[in-house]
Amino acid sequence: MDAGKYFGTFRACYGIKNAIILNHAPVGCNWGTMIYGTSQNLNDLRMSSSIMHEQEIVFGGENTLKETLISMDTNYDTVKNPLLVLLVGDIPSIIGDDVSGIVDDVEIEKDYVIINAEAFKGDAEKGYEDGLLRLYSLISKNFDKKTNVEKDTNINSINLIGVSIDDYKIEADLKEIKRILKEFNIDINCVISNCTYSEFLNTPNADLNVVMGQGFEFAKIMQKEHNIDYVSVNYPYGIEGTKKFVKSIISKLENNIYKDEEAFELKYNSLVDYEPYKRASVYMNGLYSVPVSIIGDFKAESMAEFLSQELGMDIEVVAHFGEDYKTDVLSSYTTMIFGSSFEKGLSNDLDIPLIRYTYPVFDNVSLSDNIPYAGINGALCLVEDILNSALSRCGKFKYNI
Amino acid sequence: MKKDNLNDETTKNRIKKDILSYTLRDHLFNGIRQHSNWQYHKYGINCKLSGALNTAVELENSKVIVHGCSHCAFNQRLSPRTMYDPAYDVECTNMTEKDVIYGGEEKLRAKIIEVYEKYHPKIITVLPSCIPGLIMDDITGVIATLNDEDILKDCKLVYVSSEGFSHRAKNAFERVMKDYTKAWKNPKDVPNYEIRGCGKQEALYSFFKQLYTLKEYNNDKNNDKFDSSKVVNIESIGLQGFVNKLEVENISKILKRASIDVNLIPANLEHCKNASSADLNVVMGNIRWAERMKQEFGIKYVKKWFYHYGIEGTEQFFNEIFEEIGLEEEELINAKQIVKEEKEKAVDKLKDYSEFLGKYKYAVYTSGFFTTPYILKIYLEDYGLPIKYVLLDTKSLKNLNISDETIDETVESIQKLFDEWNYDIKIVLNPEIEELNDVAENVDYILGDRHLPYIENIPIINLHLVSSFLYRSSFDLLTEFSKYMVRKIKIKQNSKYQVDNSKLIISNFDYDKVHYPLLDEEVPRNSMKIWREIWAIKSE
Repeated sequence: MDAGKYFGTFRACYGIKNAIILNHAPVGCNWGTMIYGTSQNLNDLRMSSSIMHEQEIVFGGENTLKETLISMDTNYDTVKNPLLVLLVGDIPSIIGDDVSGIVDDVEIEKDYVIINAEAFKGDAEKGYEDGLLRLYSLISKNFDKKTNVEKDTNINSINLIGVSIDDYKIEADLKEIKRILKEFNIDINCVISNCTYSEFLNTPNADLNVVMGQGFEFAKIMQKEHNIDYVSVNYPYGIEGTKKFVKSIISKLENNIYKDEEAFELKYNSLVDYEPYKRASVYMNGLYSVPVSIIGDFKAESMAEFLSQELGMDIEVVAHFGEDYKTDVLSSYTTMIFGSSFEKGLSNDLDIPLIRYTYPVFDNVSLSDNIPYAGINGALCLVEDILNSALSRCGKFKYNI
Repeated sequence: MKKDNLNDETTKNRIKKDILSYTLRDHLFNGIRQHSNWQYHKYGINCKLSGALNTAVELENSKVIVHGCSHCAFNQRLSPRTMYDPAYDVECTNMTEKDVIYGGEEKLRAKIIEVYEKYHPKIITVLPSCIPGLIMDDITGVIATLNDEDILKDCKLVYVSSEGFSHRAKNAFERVMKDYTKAWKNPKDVPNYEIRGCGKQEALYSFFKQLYTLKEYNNDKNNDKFDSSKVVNIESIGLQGFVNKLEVENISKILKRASIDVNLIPANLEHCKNASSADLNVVMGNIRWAERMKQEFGIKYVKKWFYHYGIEGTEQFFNEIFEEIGLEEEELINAKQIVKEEKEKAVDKLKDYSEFLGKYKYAVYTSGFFTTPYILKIYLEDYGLPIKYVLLDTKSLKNLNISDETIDETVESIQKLFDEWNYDIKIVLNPEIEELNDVAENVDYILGDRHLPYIENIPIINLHLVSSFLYRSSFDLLTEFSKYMVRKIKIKQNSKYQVDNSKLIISNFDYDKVHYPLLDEEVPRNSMKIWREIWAIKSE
């Protein structure tokens, strides 16, 4: 099931780590964004709600919005939380609350942006795209091109676009991606959406925008306004998947010594260590032809490629959240599901393991930043988890006669 | 003493079903999630759709359709009531902008038919989100038309008013607290109240209103669905947590021993049909559904209140059921005797535990409020604990938006009750670490729940894993609680693994002085403050 536009927009904005979010909506939208948004960091609570109620349906939500705006602007320190994002949900949009008028009345001290995020206007991906586009207006207002900054011409700088702060294993994945890119003289200027407000405002200082699945509209406007090229890449799962990811980025960069194929191969191969895999090679042979299904967002395709190309597994079903995949999976030979926490229902139905890899994950936590799923080290961690979920299965065949 | 043969299947099953083992296992798998749920409630509340949805999915052989955007169905599958058991399988009409403009009725009709043809459920529950509520989709009209057309053979359609903007008023708990405080003195005066917001009550009421009809009532009243002459319905879904369900199981067992048949409702359509031929309803939560059945079918009800806790309270609860159900004189005597025997067995068991527990002096820390004096009464009278202090944490009341004035009245009422019951107990309000240390000087143990900080070496016996046992009308759960308490104290006294709390990983964090376990961080504290501020000005 798709999370809908409101969640997509929320995720784009909540990834600005020192932004605060005002959910102008009934209580349920605030509760939902809170529990999913903080599932990997239970203390990261930076939102509140205008608590729209029946009386607001009748009389409008402008008064309660005003009170909440004042309260949020006053209570959160502007230095620590310089940005206020006002998300307008379905109800105020339908009843026609004059949100801009109220905001003009209040004179907010912080930088702010108003984003209409009506759930009925699209899916989560559209919400993410629209959210970033609206956030871009802050860049056009506040960006100050650092013309005099001396740049090391041997180092390329990129913005990584498409992830969210509440993604499963996000910190570990980013650490691994940064580590690998650093080996190829590439620095990450900003990760969207997992950055501070000042890092976000500094995005035009990058050499390239790297888009992973979502955030294309933001990349396009950056190309138009700041002449920054962009490249679309798959999420870097697996040794080969990561290789493709790095290669695609380098192909778009100037002055990168690893544009030379031989230099690149030599370097990349030096980073890969197959020794740990050897210790479980007998088990890994057993993974060949094992039928699996992958459910997810834009990451599903990359995961399927890794499982088939690098582990030899048979891919039964690859589906996106918005699709009706349940019947397909149930009528397949799937023995392991890769998905979100919500695929636990399917894995229970089939009594098979679930590997959680994509949003939303609310029944597992990822605390260590040394256990990624992305990148070269991520491939090893994934193999470990896949093998363990298979090996730790126990059960006896009981004759049913 | 004969040792168990651990290879024996019967022994294995007994161990699996042992109340404490089962509860502690369940806490590990499920209960840890509730900690985050309590924490989240400081920053917001869920909406009615969430509680309604997670109650509706408990109906057997049924499907749930959320009429709204996928956003709501996606979001509300995870409810605070059942964080450990999300509603994985929910259908949605996926309303778009076009539906907002032109109405979503056709889409709902098509979805109902699609779900029926795909799954052939016995019940389909339709749950509207805010949008159809606002644009006034005629959901009951869609359902009536489908019923008239007789398209859905042998499938009942239920509509629950679950629009998220219709949550409870900010002063709801203020009223409830005031009412309860009065009722502590005269328990029978406790008023019925309705708390909107969670959605469970709306769902239950709709099931009873729409799944029972007079026609079925007339047809079923004279059939022989049950073995015995008397039947009770017991509310059995939407009960938060596993201990509630254990209690229903316990109650059912005793009633069956008294030759009374039990119909757990509204578990499935069959049970709903049988319900109208019952002689009595047993209400575990809100009485609205039972009131309706009383009007519709003339079925009386007994509701479990706080004065049905504890040994005496549990006996009283069963006796009320026996008296209301209309047993013949001999049957009544027999039934009461069965409960009396159960009670005596429990009292005997408690004697052994109390002998040990009575050797020490205690302070009891509590943050639950609506039933506080009656819970303390169990400690004092059923378990015979010498309690010197009661440490009252009123912060949870503040979170519920209860005024300082009402909190003062509540504390005063508790003190008066102690005086009336002739207990010399000192009340300490919202003790901080230093005060806890002072109290610890004068007692052997502080009995606590989940809100007590573990960060100092105070002799705390943490009972939060089983604290919900005390809120039950069940002899078994009362004795198991006592058994657990004894075990915890003995471990504290004898284990070679004595915990030094200062070495705990969680002792390395700075906590908010008032709102443990909230960390001492400005941003979440501000979020909590804002939520309370805005919640407080609502409905004024």
